[in-house]
Order: sequence, then structure tokens, then C-alpha cells
Amino acid sequence: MRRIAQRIILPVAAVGLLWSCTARRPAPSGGGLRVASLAPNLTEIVCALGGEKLLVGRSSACNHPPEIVARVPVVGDFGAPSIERLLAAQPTLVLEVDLADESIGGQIDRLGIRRLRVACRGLYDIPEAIRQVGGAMGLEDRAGPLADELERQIAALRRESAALTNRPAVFVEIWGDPLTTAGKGSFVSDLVYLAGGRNIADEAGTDYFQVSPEWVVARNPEVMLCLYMADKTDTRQQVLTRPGWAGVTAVRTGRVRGGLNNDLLLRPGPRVLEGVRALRAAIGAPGQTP
Amino acid sequence: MTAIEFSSVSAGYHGTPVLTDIDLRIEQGELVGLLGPNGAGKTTFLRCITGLCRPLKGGVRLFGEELNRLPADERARRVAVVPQEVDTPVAFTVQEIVMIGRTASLSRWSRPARRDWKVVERAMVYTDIAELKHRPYGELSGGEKQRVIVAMALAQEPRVILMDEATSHLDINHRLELMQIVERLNAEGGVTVLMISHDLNLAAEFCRRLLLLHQGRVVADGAPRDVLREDLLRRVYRCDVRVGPNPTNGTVNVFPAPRLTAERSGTDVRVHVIGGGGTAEEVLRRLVLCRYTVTCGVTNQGDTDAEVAALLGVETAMEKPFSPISAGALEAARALMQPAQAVVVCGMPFGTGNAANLQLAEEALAAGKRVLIMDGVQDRDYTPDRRATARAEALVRQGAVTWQHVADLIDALPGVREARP
Amino acid sequence: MRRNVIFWLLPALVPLALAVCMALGAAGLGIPSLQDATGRAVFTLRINRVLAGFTVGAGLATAGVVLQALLRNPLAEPYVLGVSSGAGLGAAIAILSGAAAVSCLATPGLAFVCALVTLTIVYSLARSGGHISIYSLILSGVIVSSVCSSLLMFLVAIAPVEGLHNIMWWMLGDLQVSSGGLFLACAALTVAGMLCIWLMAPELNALTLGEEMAHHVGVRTRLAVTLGLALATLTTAAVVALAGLIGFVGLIVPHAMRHLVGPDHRRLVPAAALTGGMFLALCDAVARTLIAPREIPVGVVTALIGGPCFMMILRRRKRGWIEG
Repeated sequence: MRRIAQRIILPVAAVGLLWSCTARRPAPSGGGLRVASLAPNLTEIVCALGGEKLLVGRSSACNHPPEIVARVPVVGDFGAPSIERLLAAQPTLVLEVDLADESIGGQIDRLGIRRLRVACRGLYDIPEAIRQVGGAMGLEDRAGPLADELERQIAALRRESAALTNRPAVFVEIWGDPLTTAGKGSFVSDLVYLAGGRNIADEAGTDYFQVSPEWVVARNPEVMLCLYMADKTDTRQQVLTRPGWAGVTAVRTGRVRGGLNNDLLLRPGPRVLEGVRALRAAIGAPGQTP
Repeated sequence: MTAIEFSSVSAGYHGTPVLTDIDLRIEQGELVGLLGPNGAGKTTFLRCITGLCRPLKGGVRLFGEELNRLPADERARRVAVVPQEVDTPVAFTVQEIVMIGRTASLSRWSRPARRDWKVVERAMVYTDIAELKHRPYGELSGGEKQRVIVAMALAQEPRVILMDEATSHLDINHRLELMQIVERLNAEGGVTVLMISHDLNLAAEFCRRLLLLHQGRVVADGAPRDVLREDLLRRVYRCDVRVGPNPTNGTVNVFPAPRLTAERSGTDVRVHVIGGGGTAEEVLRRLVLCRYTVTCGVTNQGDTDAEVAALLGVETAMEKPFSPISAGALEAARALMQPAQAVVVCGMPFGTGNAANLQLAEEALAAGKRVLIMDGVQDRDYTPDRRATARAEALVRQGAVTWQHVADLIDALPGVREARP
Repeated sequence: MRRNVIFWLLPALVPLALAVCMALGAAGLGIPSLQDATGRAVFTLRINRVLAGFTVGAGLATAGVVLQALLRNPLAEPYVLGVSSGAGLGAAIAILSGAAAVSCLATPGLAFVCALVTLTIVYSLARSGGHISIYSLILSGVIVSSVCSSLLMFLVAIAPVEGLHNIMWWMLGDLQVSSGGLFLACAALTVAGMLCIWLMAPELNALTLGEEMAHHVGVRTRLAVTLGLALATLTTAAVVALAGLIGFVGLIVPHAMRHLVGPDHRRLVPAAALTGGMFLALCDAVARTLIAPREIPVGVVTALIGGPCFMMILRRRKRGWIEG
């Protein structure tokens, strides 16, 4: 009896295993659009277009709007999705911003899932990205007006901002140790411009880089935005008491801002105008004691 | 003053004793050799004196003070060690190495004092390495390195020097050189020396007292000729050795017993050798090696041939020293010669005293034995009116065979069977 | 003698090197003027970095000298006994747990503590029957280092992107001093460690002949080895806490100075300390100036500059370390 069972069960199991490995995923029942978004800004765009019901997978960094956090399963980290989890979610469309084509991107392609790369790194990419996502998801009727409105408002902000004569010098401190900032062409730099400030790191053409402290000190910013700093007093105190920074205008006048929402300032998405408003508040306000 | 005192010391590693119940004293100024086979405990003995090995039982005293109470630098000022070799991967010069010997006396807070430089200089001059002082230690030859190590030991200004097989890997020249330095240190400087050596003859030559260790105990302690006895050495080293006198320095020499690796086998053939004055030495040796049964006679007591024969275990008929061959001695030799199949007469000079040996040869020839007589008797004849030459010629006419080299001799001997490998 | 000349030249070179370092930086070449506020600020920043670089370089070089003498191994350097992996693990824990965002003393503090703990583990692993052998030290150093590295790799693998970046940057070395108090504490420890090591010079000389020979000339070898290891680790942990993992200095500077001033530790220790300090300060000056406003990690610069320099010295090959 046992030998018969061995002779039958093992081969059957082996064949079944091989077959399941090679078989394609069957099309999900229902035939509807199932979208996995692998970037937080794309997730926000999808939700802004009203497509949150179609979301079946998100990256671990996708945290807005809060309702989807509980409902939509995580299929991996931002930039490093888990293929298995992705497959388990059975998406028909994968939205991503910068997956490496050769490795993960190629794998997704080979699995027969439609993959759309959306270019959305800078401020001025956002409207087009909205249109692109809308087109892929069949939500053009929502995407078009939203994108147009955004474009209009951004243009208006640009006109306003261009007229400003007195732009305070702003240093955006993305991380303190090592000192990291964002230069010309980065999203946060564009936000600073629209918010009426002048990003001192614009001289360097690259987006995110480590900067030498004395270079910053030599440019004497009037406002320092510490993006990593929560509203805890002692971290701010440490920044204010950095050896050698005492002479910097921002430190002297106390215009060292923390408690900013990084998601607004580092994520090129539909909440961009909120981000500009937050920055205006941070930059424009005169020196205050915390 | 007792330099080193062992009181019922048992010492070893991980609780297992290597030395058992060692009780001895070494007085100041002695030159002692420590002998023994591998594993007997010689190195452990040295380590007990330097503090590297704590005795499991008993204690060691250095100049009256207990060793384990002495702080490390004080101990270094009393005892220095010359090991077999010292290696350093770093390129110190000779002078720097010798200065390291002063570590126990140097001040930590300042540079070496003038006195330190003087001691180092003196040590280098004493060991004759002064001209090497700026050379890197690693570039020196073995003998030079060993002298540097001795200089480093001297720089400690010790009262005791321990040498741990310090000459083992040196050639004969450097070995003697080093030992002469040590001897001078002992004689002029009053430094007590304890040396471990595998070279028994070197130890016998230079040391006035020898300690023989066997399985962790001292089995002999005294002058070289009392310690280097064949029975003792055979038991301790477990190999066949012979001990003989060393005429150049008055002590004894040890050498291994002859090994019988015969090229040809002369078993069952008995040869009687007549020689004297060292002429029979090679013959005796070769015949013994070829496994002949050899007898010898008549030689005088104290004659080199008599001594060689004794060493080789050859039965000899002997006459009193410097006396002419008496009838009694001749009778003894005749008795030895009777059962022999051949008689060999070697190239000794003939005089009235030993002319009687020729009579033995004549008797042997008459009895039908093969007689082999070395050529050139006329050059060695000191008898009045050259009677030995005439007798030798008569022997040859009657059938004695002449020989010139030992190799021909062996070929001419009867009953030789080729030894098949 | 040439060795003498070089030895007495070193203290004279130090002010020159410091001046050169002060003249280099991302804010512009030339020593910043003290007239205006910005100039004063840049001056303060630069002098802080130069002093930090000097202290760290001196500490690493001195620790390297001790470890090369104790372990009698030309590949020995301050991180050989696992101190770097332990410190890296501590720093990673501090960064990933969020403690680093709360207090800027978290990362240095945890790195320091983990470095000391690592050495304690290595040391107790190497003890067998109360006796320390050099081989067992190196072996247990390798083992503990691998364990710490594996844990570190694990943390790196699960780290979010920003945390990962910060860990990597810390591990490449960073002389930016975030707290004056931290610098003073680490500098005091480093200087104290270096002075004590200098005082141990006679024992270090004797130990290069081997532990037995050192014992015979009167060195308390067990005490000397333990003390030497403790001092080297203390110094290394202090500089690692201050500046992260800067490699190459602790390996190369002792070798180079042994070639130039000889192996006598009475000279080697101060020579290595001064040269290590100057070397690292200069490398840091280059690191923060070459692609301004960006900075190259200083560990990269030490390797790129130090490698060819050392090869030039090695070509003479007469003095220094003899390969066995």
C-alpha cells in the first residue's frame, strides 16, 4: 500500500509542481482593471482621480490617503517590489516611476503584466503624469480637468513668484549628518522657488547631494528648512548650536524650521499646491521663537 | 653563593609533570651542561628558572630569593637566556636589538642613559659584532645573529646565562667561536652558565659539570667522564654508543658504535691481524665492518691499535707498554692465531721489540694459512743488520701475498662471499 | 642619519600642513579672513574639521602601530580585531532605531560602546587557560567581525532607503563634528591613549622579538599585551565614534613611518601619530574641496592617495618590515 502511494503521489506532485511553475497566471475572474502602484506619488494620483477602488497593490511607502493604507495590500518597498506579492495581488496594470528595466521591470514584463512607467520626478511633470495615469486607467474625464487646473495654478504661482524681488535665501536640509540638500531641478527646489524663496543649492545642477557645511555657511542662508526634523525641541537646539554655524543668519534669527511634512515636499504628486503653501508659511514668516 | 637552587621541584604543563622531584644546586661561577634525550625535560628545566613554567611542587631560588617573588625586571637583571634563534619581522639594527636587552634597566620616561649605551657597546665588543652595529639584524648570517643574541643577553648584565641549544644550527666554526665567548664570560666575568646541548662532545669539552636528565629526573650529575659512561648513555639515549678518550682536551668523546653495513660478508672467516702504532687501524675497522671474526696481536698496551681494537671489540693479545714482546704474549697471540684462516701483517715499523711478530707470520704460513704482508718492509726495517727485510722476503718466496691498499687486502682474503642485497 | 632628519622634521611640518588644510575648502581657497561674520564662520568650521582630522588620523595611526607590534603581523590595523564591525553595528542600530534623529550623540555613543563590547568578546574568546595567544586573538577577531558584519548586512538589507544611505555614509567616514562636547571627549580619550602607548614603547620593542624573548628581557608579557590591546581599542573606539570608519590610515602610516624613522617605538609612535594626523587632515581637505560643493567620503581619498604613496616608499624596501 505504501509503495503504491509513493509511486503515485510523488510523480503526481512533481508534475503538478512543474506545471504550476510554468503555467501563466489565469486571468482573474471579473475581467476588470486591477492596478498596482509602486510609487507613493502615483498612488496619490490614482486616488486623486477617484480610482482607489481599482487599487489592488501599493508600495510600503504609499501612505496617502489614509483610507487605502488599511485596505490595499503592500506588494513591496518603494523601488523594490516583491514579485510574489505582486503576483498574488493579480494586477493587470503596474504603475511605476523608476524600476530597473533589466531586472524587476523585465520580470514583470515577462509575466505578461502591463507595465507603465510614468515620468513624474519634477514639479512640471505632474500634470502630464496625471494625464498619463488617467489615460491608462480609463479615467481621462477626471484626469484632464485636474491636470489642466493644476497647470493653471502652477503657472499663476510662477508668475507671482517671478515678480518677487526680495527672495530670502533658503537652505533645504534634507538630512543633517551627512548634510544633504537638493539642487536645481529637484522637486523641492522648484517648490521653494514657487514659495518665494531662493534655494542656495541651485548653483549645483544635480538634484540630491551631500554638501559641504562650509559651502552652506559661506552662502549665509536666511531660512533653514530641516526636513528630517520633527517638532522636537532638542533636535532643533542641536542645529542651532552647531559649532561654526552661529554666524549664519538663519541661526542667528532663529529661522530654522522643522515639523514639515516630508511627503508634501519630497513627493511630486497632486498635493503640490499644499506643499507650496506649507513652504510659504515656513519661509515667509518672520523670525519667531519656537 | 648558590646561583640556582631547585628544591623538590616537580613541573610540567596542564598539571602533568614533566620534571619530577628535582633537587640540585648550581653554584655561582659554574659552567654546567644539561643533557638528555628529547622530551627528558631540559627545556622545562630552563623555563622553571626563567619563570615561564610554574612548578607544580617545590620551588626555585635564584641567588637565595624565591623566583616567584622576584619582579620581572629584577629577574631579567639576574638571568638571561640565549635561545636557539630569535626572529623578528621588523628591521631592527643590531645595536637596537642589543639595546632591547637593556629593557629591564631602561627608564621608561627618558631616552637610554649614557650607562646603557656603554653596556651595549661593551656587549657588542665582547661578542665581536661591533662593526655590525648598524646593519639590519635580518641580513646577518646565522653565526652573526647568534652572537647578537649573546650580546643582547650580556646587555642585561646577568649573573646567570641559560643557553637553550644555542649552537645547534651553527657550523663548527661558529659553534666553537660561541663556546669560546661563553667560556671567557664564565672565566673572566664569573657568570654562571647552564647550557642545554645535544652535542655531547661539545658539552664534554667545555662544561666542567654535566647533568643528565632522563624522563624528568636527574640520573647523573658530575664531571664529564663520570656522566658520559657507555652503560648510562645507552640506557638514556637508547642507542648503541661508544665512549672514548679525547686526547686533545683530556675529556671523553662519545660516538655511535660502528654500524655493520657490510659490502661483502666475511662471516665464518677468522682473520688475525698483526699491527702496531696505528697501522692496523683501518684494517681492523674494515674487517670488522665486513663481519670477519678478527683477532689481533701482539700489540703493546696504550698503543693506538690496541685502543682501536678495544673499541671495535676485537680480542687482542697485549704486551706491557714499551716492552719487547715476551714469550707469554707471543703464546697468547699464537693461541688467537691458531683458529684463524688468514693472517694479515700491517705496515708497522719493525724493531727488535716486535720482530717476534714475524715469527707468528712464519708459523702461520707453515701451518698453511694465507699470510698477507704489507709491501715495503725494507723501508720500515729498524732491526740490526736488517733481519726483518730478509724474513719478509723469505715469507713472500714461500707463498705470502703482498698488499698495498686495504681494498686489495679484502679481495685477497679467503672465503669471501658477496653479500647479496 | 637620515632617520634622525626625518624624525625632527615632522613637528616642523605640522603647522605647515595645518595651514594648507585651512586654505582648502568648499567655500573657496585661501584661509578665510576673520573680518566678516561669514569668514569667521567658515574659519570655525574649517578649524574644527582640521583638528578632528588630525586627532582621528593620529589615533588611528598609533593604534595601528600597537597592533602591528603586538600581533607581529604586517596586515594588522586598528580594525583587525573586529572593532570596526562592532562599531558599525552600533551605528546602524542607532540610525535605524531612530535614536540618531533624536540625539546627535546617539550614533557615536552606541558605536563606542559596541566597539568596546566587541573587543571584550574577542578577548574572552581568545583566552584559554589564562593564556592569550596571538593566533587565537586574530582568529576570534575574524569570527566576531564576521558575526557583526552579518548582523550589519541584515540591518542594511531591511533598512529603508534613507536609513541605508546614512549607514553607508557613516561607514565611509565623516569628519564633520556635530557637537563640540563630543569632539572634546573623543579627543581627550584619543590623546590619553596615545600618550600611554608612547610610554609602552620599550615593551612594544621587546614584544616584536616574540613573547618568550620579551619575557626573558624582563617584560610582563601578559600585562603588556592586555594593556596594549585595551589602549589600542580605546583609541580606535574613540576615533570611530567621532568620525566613523576611516580605513587605510591605521594600516599604511605605521608601515611608512617604520620605513622612514625606523622600528624603535620610542620614535615610531610619535612619528606615526604626527604623520597620521597630517595625512588625514590633508586627505579631508582634498575630500571637501575637489568636487565642491559635494564631498567625497574621506575614506575614499585616503585609499586613493595613500596607496600610491605607500608603493613609492615600498620600492626602496630596505628598511621597515621584512617579509619572512
